[in-house]
Amino acid sequence: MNCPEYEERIALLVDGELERGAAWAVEKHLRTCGECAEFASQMEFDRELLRMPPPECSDVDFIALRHAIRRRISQEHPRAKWMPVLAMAGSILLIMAVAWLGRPNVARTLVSAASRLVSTRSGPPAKSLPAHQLSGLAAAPVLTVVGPRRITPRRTANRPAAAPQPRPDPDLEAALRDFLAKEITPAFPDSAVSPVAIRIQTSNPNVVLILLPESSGGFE
Amino acid sequence: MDERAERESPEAQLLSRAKSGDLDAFEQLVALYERRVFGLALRLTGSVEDAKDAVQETFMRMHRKMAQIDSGRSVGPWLYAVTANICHDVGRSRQRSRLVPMDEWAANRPDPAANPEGVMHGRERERRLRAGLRQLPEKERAALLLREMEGMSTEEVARALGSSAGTVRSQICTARLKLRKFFARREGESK
Repeated sequence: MNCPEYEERIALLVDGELERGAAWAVEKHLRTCGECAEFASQMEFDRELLRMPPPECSDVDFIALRHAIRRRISQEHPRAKWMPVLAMAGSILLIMAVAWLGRPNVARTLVSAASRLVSTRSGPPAKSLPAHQLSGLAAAPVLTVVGPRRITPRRTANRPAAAPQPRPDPDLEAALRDFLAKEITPAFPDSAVSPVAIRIQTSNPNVVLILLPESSGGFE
Repeated sequence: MDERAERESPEAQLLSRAKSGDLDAFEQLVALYERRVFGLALRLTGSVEDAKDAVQETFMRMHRKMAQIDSGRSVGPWLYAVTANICHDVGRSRQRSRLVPMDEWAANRPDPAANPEGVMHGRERERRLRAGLRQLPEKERAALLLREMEGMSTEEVARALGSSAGTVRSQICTARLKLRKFFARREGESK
């Protein structure tokens, strides 16, 4: 090429990076210089070459490439694969828990346990909030356990009113003393104390259980 | 579908769906760009295997950083910038492992298909082009390819390569001249 000073300007012209005035000057030169015109057209040919996709593009198995990418994504995000399964399992568990809690006796048991826990708690009582702080909580959602207002133990729930306490019968007590003096004490002549070892008093003063020692040393 | 979604281009809609975790939409974006990304990577690395790896890595990076892509713009410039960076890393690792790609070996052989009429088979023409690109410094090659293959503006290329617009303009101009001189030399040798 005879005009090396135009090389760079031709390259910029081809690239569209020359200002209008400079571009006009180069185009004028190209009209008069065959060698530079040839250089410019070859440069345009190079551009066409660069814009063509490489022929290897038609050889590559892009479906396999996409599968490889998908595989890598699933390896990088194993949670995403299990997420639907976990969501399903969680839903089933939640439904089962709601159904179980909905059974009336379960609800009663839980409420009873909770009330016992509250009544036997030994820590300091919870500090109550002042009224102006409570007003902000009025709209807050609260978890409510639906159940009977007052829980009574099952054994005493339907019990009839207690019967009047019987009075102790003095004759029965005297009869017991006579029996012991006549029948039991003579069987233990060496004993300095009463042979009655265990006396169990019931709620009825006229019913007394007495365990008497045998002569062999045991109780009957 | 709301008014905004209707105004969006099909590509922007795919990107929005892919951002919300739709893997099928992501795959459609991959299908839209895979050939162009592969072509760019092939000319940047000079090796089919390296280019395939670069394609995978580019789209994996796209999947990881989907949220960073501006839905209002085309995905292309973002993808090509990532491809150029990945190919740069591939080149550095190859330098460390001292591997020589086949195309470099081919560049030093006389071109049997070159003739004065300039009639060349597509593959021979491509082989000659890649041999010419191999002679260019990496930045110049990347700037020229982003401009010509992907039609990116000077500013887009500058952003992709982390350079200034002035530097990119100069790099592209120099790359064109070097490539033209390489071809002229090869044609002279074959005559």
